[in-house]
Amino acid sequence: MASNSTIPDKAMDDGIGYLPAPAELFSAGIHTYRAYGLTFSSEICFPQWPDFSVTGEADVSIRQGVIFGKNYTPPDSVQIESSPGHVLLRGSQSATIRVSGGNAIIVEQLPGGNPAVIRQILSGWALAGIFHQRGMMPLHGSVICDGDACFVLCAESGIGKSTLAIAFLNAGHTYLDDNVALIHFEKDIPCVIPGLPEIRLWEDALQHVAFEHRVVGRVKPDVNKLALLSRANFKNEPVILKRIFILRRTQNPDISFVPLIGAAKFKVLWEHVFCVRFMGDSGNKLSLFQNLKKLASDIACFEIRLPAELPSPDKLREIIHDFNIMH
Amino acid sequence: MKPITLDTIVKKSEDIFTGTIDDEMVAMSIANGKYYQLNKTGSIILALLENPHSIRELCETIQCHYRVDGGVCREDILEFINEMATLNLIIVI
Repeated sequence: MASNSTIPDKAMDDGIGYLPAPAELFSAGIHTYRAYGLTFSSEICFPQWPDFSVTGEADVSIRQGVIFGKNYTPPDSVQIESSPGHVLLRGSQSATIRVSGGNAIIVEQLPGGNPAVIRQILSGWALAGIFHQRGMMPLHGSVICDGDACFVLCAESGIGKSTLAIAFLNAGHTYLDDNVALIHFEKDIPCVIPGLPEIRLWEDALQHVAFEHRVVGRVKPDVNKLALLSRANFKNEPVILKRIFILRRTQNPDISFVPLIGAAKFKVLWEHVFCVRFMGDSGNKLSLFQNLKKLASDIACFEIRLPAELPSPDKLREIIHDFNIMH
Repeated sequence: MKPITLDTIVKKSEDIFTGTIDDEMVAMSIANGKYYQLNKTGSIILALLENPHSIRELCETIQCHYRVDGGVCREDILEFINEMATLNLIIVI
């Protein structure tokens, strides 16, 4: 299958391509974006985030700031501290980051802190902090559009969620996000809000990508996982959520779809809330609980039990597609 | 913790959220992030404990719902309440 990736001009020594972001974390000027239904004003440039002209005050500001100052000794491993409405990440090598009030992210880069790593933390954990403090409902999963509706694919690490998402995009589907399904109720109807047009996948899976994309660089300098930017397949409007699939590897010989109901459904949804374990008591848990309860009542949720030997991504896509048509 | 007796008054902890999904009740602790699934009787008891009740009152209410021997009912509810107290799902007043 032909790959039509566009490698940026500034090639890195490893030949993979260069993250087209300024080498310095903090660049001159303010960058403005819109994602997950929020506007952002940032002193940090995020090449994958959708640009947006913000008039007035943005919903969320991302700023450089002093949290502990020059004489601070970072911990040996990452630590997280929280209190209602606040969460602090004390990185060991990258940065100290504070998320407050659902609207402010302060970043203090540690000496030698890698900008790419810090951007990844901000695009993941820090955004999760904003979502939870605002009482939003983010699930960890890929969101694939199918006609006028969408479905969410959740999976434990290693099952190949992104590779499966790529199989759907190769077949002409669009997507809302490959990592976070931010769900909200629009007049009581569950919808997913578009997030970031970024797909992360292992380098060896790049050969299977057959839609227009751009390799923007490694997720982390020492990891063979790449970040792709694919705006052409990205749907930039909320889409009604039809169902949620949980991919789970089993010892069964065949693939089966098992409907989840009641407390079991709530349990699975709770387990897939994005970064909830790393938020302490910072977030609005009552709001999250009520939203999840409503979601569990309103949405069909199926566990896709996969055999130990996984089917090819294309085969699995066909099976899920057929299931969606029949149900 | 003082032993729980029939005259002990208990109440659902403020840190617990409860909800019903497909006729099954789930309770979630904010403090530890854990969730618990309750059977029908447990659901009735936890719903009653939105307000303070003695164990004796709980037994009487459950006996109105189910045909059950009084002694067995009291024993089962005491065991259940003790377990709930250990998990901090209820508080002793």
